[in-house]
Amino acid sequence: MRLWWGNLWLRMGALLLIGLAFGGLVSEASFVASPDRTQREARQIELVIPAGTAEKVKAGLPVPSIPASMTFMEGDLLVVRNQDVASHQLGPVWVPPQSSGVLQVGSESNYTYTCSFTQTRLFGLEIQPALTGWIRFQGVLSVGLPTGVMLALYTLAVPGSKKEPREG
Amino acid sequence: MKNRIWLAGGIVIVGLAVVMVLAFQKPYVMHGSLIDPPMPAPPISLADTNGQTFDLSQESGKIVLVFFGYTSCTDVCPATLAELRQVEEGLGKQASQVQVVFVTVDPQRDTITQLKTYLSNFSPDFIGLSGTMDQLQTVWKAYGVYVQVQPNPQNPDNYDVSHSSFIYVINQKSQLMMTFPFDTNVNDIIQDLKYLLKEG
Repeated sequence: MRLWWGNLWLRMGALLLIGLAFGGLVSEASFVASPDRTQREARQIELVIPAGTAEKVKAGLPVPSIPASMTFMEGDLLVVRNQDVASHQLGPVWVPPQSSGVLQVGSESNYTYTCSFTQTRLFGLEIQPALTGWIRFQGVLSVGLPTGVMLALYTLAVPGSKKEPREG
Repeated sequence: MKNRIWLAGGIVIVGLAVVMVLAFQKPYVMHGSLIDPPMPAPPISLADTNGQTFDLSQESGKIVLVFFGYTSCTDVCPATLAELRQVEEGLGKQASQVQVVFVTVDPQRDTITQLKTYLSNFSPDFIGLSGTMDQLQTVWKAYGVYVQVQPNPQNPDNYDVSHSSFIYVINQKSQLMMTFPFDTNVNDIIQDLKYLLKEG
């Protein structure tokens, strides 16, 4: 124990790891506890256009609506299942009858598209960056690295810690 | 003995590296919107800018990119055709395996001559198609194309036409398998087409 504490590089490395572990704890705890978590990992989102939608739109009847705009994460897989006898368009996805349209949502942006079955005939699409492992790791680094460096500087600066190797 | 240990260690490391690469290798993801399952492409048989009848079934073995528009269009159509020109350039020699087809949504003004002149501004290889209103409406309906004439009371001849702006992708097996929404990145289209050409 005292042997490695006496080695400056080992000590720095150990303190950096302690700092990173602390950063991981703080970052992940705040992520889990956050009440307003808009960011998430990419996932599959499925929407169904029921049979008879085109007829209802033509007759001016209300159709099972979707929100006027939707927020997706980068990398989300948007699957639109069309159970109707007519083709439909939902934003960037065109779906022939009795088929599915599959689109992997691209990079961060905002679009307004045509939609064949919303009341406004428009569909807003907001794409946010997905919460990736790398982003969470950046959170760990941003807390852990400074903590580790601070701990390392503290052990160098506090006089008692320098004496410790001599005690062994 | 020592050499054997190094050799075994090396093999283990290389093996692990190969396993890691294979495990983390992601399958190619298309940038366009896939039609699942791909459907037989609805037939297109219309008069073309080469003075012949274009028959989509004759294009089997090629990728066909179909776009619906009109020559008086001031925004979406020229932008898409310019993009398709860039796609053609980006594909290089492989462009001969891809056919761009422009179907009019304004047969009243888009004569075959007008279409030919217009498309020559983009590429001599693009094919323009027109026909009777009945013929065109059949094709528009089959491809779910929205066409709406916007009358101009001040100048009745200078009207606009609202229309769908997708690029429809028909693969080598004559299946309608993907669409690109307006403004899809050129490089993404090129990448997808190269992948399709490679996969056959």
